[in-house]
Amino acid sequence: METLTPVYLRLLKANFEHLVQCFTEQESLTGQTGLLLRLRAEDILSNSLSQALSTPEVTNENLQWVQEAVTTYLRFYPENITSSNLATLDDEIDMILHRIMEIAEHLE
Amino acid sequence: MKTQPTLKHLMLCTLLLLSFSSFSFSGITISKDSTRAWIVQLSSSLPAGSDTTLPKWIRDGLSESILKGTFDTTSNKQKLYSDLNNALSIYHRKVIIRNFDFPGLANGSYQPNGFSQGTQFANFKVKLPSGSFDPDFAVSYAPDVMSFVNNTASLEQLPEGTKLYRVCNDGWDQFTGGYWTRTKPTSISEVIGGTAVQPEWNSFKNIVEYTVPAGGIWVWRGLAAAQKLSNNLNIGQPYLAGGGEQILIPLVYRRLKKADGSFDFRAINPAMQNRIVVLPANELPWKR
Repeated sequence: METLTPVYLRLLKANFEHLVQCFTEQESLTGQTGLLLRLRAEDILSNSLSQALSTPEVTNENLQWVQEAVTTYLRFYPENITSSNLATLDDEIDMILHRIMEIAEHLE
Repeated sequence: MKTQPTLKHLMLCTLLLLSFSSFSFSGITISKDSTRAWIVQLSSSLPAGSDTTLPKWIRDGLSESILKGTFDTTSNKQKLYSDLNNALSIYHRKVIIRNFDFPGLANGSYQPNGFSQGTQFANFKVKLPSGSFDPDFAVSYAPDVMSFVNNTASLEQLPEGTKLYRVCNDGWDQFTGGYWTRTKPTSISEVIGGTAVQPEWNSFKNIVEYTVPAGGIWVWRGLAAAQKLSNNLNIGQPYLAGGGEQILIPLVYRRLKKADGSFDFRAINPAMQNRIVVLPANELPWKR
């Protein structure tokens, strides 16, 4: 297992947490509720990422679970993203997604 | 011949009464619903309205025994209820409680789609013949590539008038999404199984039809790769076999570009929107 893997996983966690915060802001700005991208981001945090980070040694099985969950999330992001009506927030969300994509490429 | 009521007749009448309605007698309410006791008890620790929501989910098709068993064993009943309440469809609820009795599920274990872990993001580009074409049509997004069997698809032109179909959630962002089929699905099994659509991402509530405009469009055509039943819950057994044909419409038809030349995922291309019709609900066989 790559020694940097836990670092990348923790970075992934921080970015997903930030993303959830941004979608929560979007919901309060627009009155939208239950944004699918927020719900699925929370799922990743509480399921695959939480499991992978729960032990000192990241197992291959847990790592694969994170990779698949994140890949699917990124696949459905473009057709589920909606505007918050605040350009700064939209840019922030796009930037986080870009960071998540970059970090995911390092998971091995 | 006149027959006298027997004890057997009286018992049958009583059973019929109990099965058809709740009734009160001398101030005592007897419910027809044997689920009532555990739901009433459970609902006291859940948000208001759960006492009516839980029975509705059971009427919709959730297995009562599996639902009860899942609540009995979870360490966080509020979160389970919240997950079920936020679920996109009955199929999604069934996934959450592992009630695997719906169409489209394949027995056996999910096998990842081709690449070994760690190289999947780096190597995908060589798998598609996108190099010689306008880069706007290239599939440069790894998750899209990985949704095809063996990470392979062919770039093909669909002629004017071709009809494409898409089963999706609400809203124009969804109606103008990437994944389509050339045939209108005739069953939920074709959607969940054939095109390997995970219930945690699709409500299966709408079906839209897109008519290809004059001049045709270039699309990626291939077979849908197998998927886990749930990535979030790590359920790979049963799994979604895929194998049905899927069409990926490039972003250039679906979204507008920003000033810097990149696609703005939030800016729907009106040329596509104007050629999409939301079909009536009776076109969804699983909703009839």
